[in-house]
Amino acid sequence: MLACAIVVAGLAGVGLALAGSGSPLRSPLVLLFLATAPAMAVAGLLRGLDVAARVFVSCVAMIVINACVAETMLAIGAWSARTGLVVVVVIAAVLRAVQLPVVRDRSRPCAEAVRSVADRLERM
Amino acid sequence: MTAAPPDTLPAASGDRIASYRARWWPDPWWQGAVLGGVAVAGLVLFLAPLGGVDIARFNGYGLISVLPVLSLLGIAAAVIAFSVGLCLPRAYPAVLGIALAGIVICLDAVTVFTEPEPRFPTSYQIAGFVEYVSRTGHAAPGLDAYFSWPGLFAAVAFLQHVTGNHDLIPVLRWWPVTVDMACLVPLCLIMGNLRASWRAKWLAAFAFEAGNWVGQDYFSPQAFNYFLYLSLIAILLNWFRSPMPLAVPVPRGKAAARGKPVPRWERTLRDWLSWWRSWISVFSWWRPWFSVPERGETEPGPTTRAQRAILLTIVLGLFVFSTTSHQLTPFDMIAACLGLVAVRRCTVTGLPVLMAVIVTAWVSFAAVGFWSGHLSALFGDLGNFGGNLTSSVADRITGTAQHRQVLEIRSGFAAVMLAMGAGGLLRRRYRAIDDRILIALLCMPFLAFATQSYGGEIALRVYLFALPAAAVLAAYLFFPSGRDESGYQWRALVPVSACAVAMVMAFFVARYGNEVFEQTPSGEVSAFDYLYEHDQGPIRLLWLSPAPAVDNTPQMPWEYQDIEKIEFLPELAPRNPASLTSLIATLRGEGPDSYLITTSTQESYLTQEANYIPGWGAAFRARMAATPGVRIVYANADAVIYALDFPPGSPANPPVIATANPVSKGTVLTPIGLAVLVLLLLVLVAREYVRVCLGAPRRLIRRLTLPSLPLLVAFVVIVVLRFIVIS
Repeated sequence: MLACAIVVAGLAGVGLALAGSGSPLRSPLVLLFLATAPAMAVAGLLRGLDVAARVFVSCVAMIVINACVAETMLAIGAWSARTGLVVVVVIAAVLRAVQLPVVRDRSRPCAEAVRSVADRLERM
Repeated sequence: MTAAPPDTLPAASGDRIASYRARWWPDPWWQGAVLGGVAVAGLVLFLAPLGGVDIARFNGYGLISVLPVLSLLGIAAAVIAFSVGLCLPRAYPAVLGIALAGIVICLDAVTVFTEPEPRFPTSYQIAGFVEYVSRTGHAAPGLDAYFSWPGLFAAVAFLQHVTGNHDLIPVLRWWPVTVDMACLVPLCLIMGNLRASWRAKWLAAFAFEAGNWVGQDYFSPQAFNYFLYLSLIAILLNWFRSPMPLAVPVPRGKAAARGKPVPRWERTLRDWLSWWRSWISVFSWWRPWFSVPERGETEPGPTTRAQRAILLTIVLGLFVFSTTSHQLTPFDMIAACLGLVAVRRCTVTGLPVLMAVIVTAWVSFAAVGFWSGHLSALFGDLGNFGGNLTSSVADRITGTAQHRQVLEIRSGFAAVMLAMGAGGLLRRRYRAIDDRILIALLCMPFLAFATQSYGGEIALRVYLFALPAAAVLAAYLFFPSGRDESGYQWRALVPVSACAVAMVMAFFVARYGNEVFEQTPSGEVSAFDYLYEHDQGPIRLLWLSPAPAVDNTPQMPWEYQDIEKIEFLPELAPRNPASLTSLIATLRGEGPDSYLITTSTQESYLTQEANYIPGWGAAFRARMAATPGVRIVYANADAVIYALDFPPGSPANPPVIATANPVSKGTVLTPIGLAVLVLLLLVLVAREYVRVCLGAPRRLIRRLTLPSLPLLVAFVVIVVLRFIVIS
């Protein structure tokens, strides 16, 4: 419930930022999104780890995702903050989407094939 | 599904609260309450009188010369309360955590409360680099070497754009304490792997913060990268650590006879060792040193294949960002990782090679602007271990008696910290505990002495990167046990309190000892605001350095915007403030678009660091004001900007400031090198994923290693050839 509220508020911030709004809410909301959305997505992938460690690793991953998006834009000469923001939204969405039950059920045969190949390789 | 009894939920939530309370604030509750009360009172006592501090009265000892006695007593009380908390039978994590956080705020945010503007000149310069990236959308390697590693500038500029907030002053102000506090998190995770008592861990966290007087935590790439360095080690130690070997019963008697025959040399060696052991054991206090030690770390937790893959991806992403944002830290990351592999406590054994390839590729292909034309700056100090050590320790101790004392306290602080670490290591070894992880993390940063002098700063960096391990080992000096000791530990109270209070007092001298010229008075910011408001075209700004060839960082809030419009030129400050002929001639030779600035902090720097006569600044300003032909463009108590009168119609001579990357010679090696690099990275990355996800199957890893070797050789040859051809 809290996570949903954070994501909705963060997406509102992203909307304000993409629209170039001068609203005083834009800055805190978009920061909230950049700080929490990628971190929550990665935390979902790391279920089973100790809680404190999971929070820490998710925060490091969040920093890495945001920073690498910005650095890549600069390095390839395609600097555009809006594009960068959209890319972060897409990365967070993809990381979250692969955890959805629907996606997991659909990709189960594929995952099992990968697992059997990995098992065979492991025995090499 | 049956309905839950009505009293289940409240009871469950009550149990949960009780378990949280038992964990964070155990009984007897009043001990924690008393300690917490004393600690909070001490912190309030420290902060309350800071508003009345007069920073104009700084002397050569810096901040501590103006800190009220009440403040010092307050922080001493908080530190003693923290020390008492370590001697109680149970840990009060809530109380110790609040006390530690408060102490960190007192240590690292004190200048937020005493000084009107964020401190430290270079942080303003970094803010200027961020402003440039934010404004133009590209880096400017021609302007400054920092732009060859623009990762952090890009990240902050990105945040500025999306939030619509471009004011970095609050960031500059709160950055040091935020980064220092954040570094505690990975440090705690690192310590979570160690077989040590809770007392040692809390004391280590304190020693890490109080021992970090180096002052590299200002708004800068290195501060952020230090956090990344600790995070990398934390991830490697938590999830990529070699598991304990399974206990195999030693075959004895007939079982041994059925087993493999022991080679003759091994039997001789064992006999020889056991003879020595029996001889040594005559002196009973020697015995533990020669016993077989138990591991100084705990069993690593279980992880799944997918989790290890995700964690390795995060490690690689973290390292790539570090490579693009700072020139030194990636090498320390490689050294730390190599150390862990060498002591057989890291399962990703190929990671150091992969990291080395990534960082070499960045330096060779992306940081051409940095090394092209001055390779000697990059490799000139290679192997000069003694020279690098001297240039960064002994050669820096210059200036007035007070300033020299500050520098000696810094060196002494570092030496005592490392000595305490060595002492802690010996106590643990005496208890037959093997701390090879900490030994590796302590020793590997010292390799840097063999490679670079880093502008005479390498000793500071070596100490900084060795500090996490040194702090933990120093805590072992007081609490060496491998498990939680029961009962009160009053024996440790006096030494721990005395050392902790001494460390905090020494911290204020070592960290803020140069505050007389590292602070930023408001008047200097106003002077630069004036310049930036009026900079229509490129101008030259001369400033007064004691040695322009080597001392080229001014002590003033420089370059915080429009970095491509003002060229800063260091000019020799005349020893005799009455003799200005040469300086005026230089200023005239630079033409009408040139100005000269003097600031109170730069004048203090000349007096403190370079032994200029006391009162040099006032005498210089008086003499300049009295010199015919010199015009004062802007003046306040902290800064004066001068220009010369030129006859009308004098030819303009604006400086040419290049921002673009200097055009490097085209070479066919570049595309070939990039192709080899891509292939090599593919093979090496695949090898590490196979290693961590598939339980290191030998045959498969060998199949991936074989193609990587010729690719690696080709890559090294191309990098070397590029260095030769392009430079």
